[in-house]
Amino acid sequence: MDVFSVSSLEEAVSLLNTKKNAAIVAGGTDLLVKKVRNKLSVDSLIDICGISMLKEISNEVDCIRIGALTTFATLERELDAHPFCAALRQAACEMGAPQIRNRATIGGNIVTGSPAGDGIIALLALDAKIELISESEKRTVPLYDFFTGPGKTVIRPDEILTALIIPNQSGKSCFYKVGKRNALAVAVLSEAIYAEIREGKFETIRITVGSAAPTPIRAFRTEKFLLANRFNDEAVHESIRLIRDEISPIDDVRATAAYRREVAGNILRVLLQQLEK
Amino acid sequence: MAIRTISCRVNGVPVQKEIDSDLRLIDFLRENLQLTGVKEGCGEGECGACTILLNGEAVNSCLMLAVQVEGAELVTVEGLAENGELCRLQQAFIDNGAVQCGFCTPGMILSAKALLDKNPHPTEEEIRRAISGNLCRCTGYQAIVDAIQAISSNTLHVQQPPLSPAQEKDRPQ
Ligand SMILES: Cc1cc2nc3c(=O)[nH]c(=O)nc-3n(C[C@H](O)[C@H](O)[C@H](O)COP(=O)(O)OP(=O)(O)OC[C@H]3O[C@@H](n4cnc5c(N)ncnc54)[C@H](O)[C@@H]3O)c2cc1C
Ligand code: FES
Ligand code: FES
Repeated sequence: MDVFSVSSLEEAVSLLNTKKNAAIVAGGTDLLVKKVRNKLSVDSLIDICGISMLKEISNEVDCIRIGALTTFATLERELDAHPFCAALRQAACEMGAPQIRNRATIGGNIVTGSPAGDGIIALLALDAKIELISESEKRTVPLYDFFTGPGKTVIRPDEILTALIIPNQSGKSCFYKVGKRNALAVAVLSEAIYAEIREGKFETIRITVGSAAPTPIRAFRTEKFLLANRFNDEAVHESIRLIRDEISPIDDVRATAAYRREVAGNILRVLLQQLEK
Repeated sequence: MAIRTISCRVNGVPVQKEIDSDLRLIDFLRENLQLTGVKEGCGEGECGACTILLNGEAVNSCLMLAVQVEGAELVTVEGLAENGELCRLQQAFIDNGAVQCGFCTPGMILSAKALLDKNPHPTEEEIRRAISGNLCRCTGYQAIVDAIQAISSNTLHVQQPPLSPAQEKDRPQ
């Protein structure tokens, strides 16, 4: 198998255009596992780690732009500067183990498209968009529209994910994950919330849930209920019932669907309590 | 099979080799450079036995391609001893009984080194977090944590054995 190492975006998109059966490799923490399991059927790999402009986090007028090659270790270190992104920072802290966080990129997390992807769950709550570039086109897609099934996304074979764009916001966010142990565990269930609360009422709320459906999801019904009610104990109680009902998890090796529903409600309680602080 | 040339520094020594372009970093280190202190447990990022330092950061060498370390500085456990003498961290592992079968030890020591190089006085929690990607099936971890604490100089680690009444009497005031 050929491996091409590129140091510019132009080189990368031009190779993607000419090499028909090629895959991008970034941190390699998903791709190399696939390769050793003989589940990778490509003729060549394009290593994009040399494109330094994809490693930057920059503040623009109305948004934060995070390069696709930003590692989880960097997110953990640098997101303190953006308190409303606490959910993403927390997801970065809990993801993998140090060796994984030092290599795994946020772009790879998104393109892998696992319904359990920790970065994805946090970014969805933050209403992120992603930027995709090919040799002929540049497009911006809401992250929510990116996933079509487990491991399936709308990215085209000639496209590279270059950045995530998080609009600047005034509220608070948080993330919580339940796994079998702290390090290296794929989430049994995870949730993130972004909210703006004024005078005891939600002005904005986004609740996202991982490992609860074939793709990462938003709990729209639960959100709608919370938006329509005052933020008090009764509303919290009802929202817990609603989210358990709203998600459609499955039984798998990590947990049963019934357990996941239970946990979804419990996590929601913890996160809503965190928002009150 | 496509061949590529790779150059990097391993344990302070410049290295240049021609390799298959999709060779894993772990195989490059073990097979091409005979650095067999790099162990392969799972080959999938779960166990940390293959941990090395890449520009000072702990990474799993089983999850990287060798060509991805072009120009980089790598350290394996073989690079720690100087002039035939173990480094303090290695010695602390021995002194604290942190090595049993030894399979996890090189990776464990390198994860600890990555931590201590940045944070010489970690808390126990920070130590446990730093080695959370390294599995040990023998020691139960406590001896490993003790060994790492033992060289983070401002913590009191080795518990002094209780003094006998006779020693107590002679203790300098
Ligand atoms: C031991 C272990 C523990 C893990 N723990 C967690 C965890 O707790 N939480 C979690 O969410 N994930 C976890 N993962 C999964 C993985 O580490 C993450 O999904 C990671 O973010 C992938 O990023 P990467 O840079 O390593 O991607 P790579 O493996 O390099 O690539 C992944 C996929 O994305 C494509 N790709 C990568 N970058 C781009 C780009 N810029 N544009 C287009 N396509 C691209 C590749 O072609 C490939 O298909 C774990 C993995 C391992 C091995
Ligand atoms: S062999 Fe690399 S992590 Fe297990
Ligand atoms: S000493 Fe045997 S695995 Fe750790």
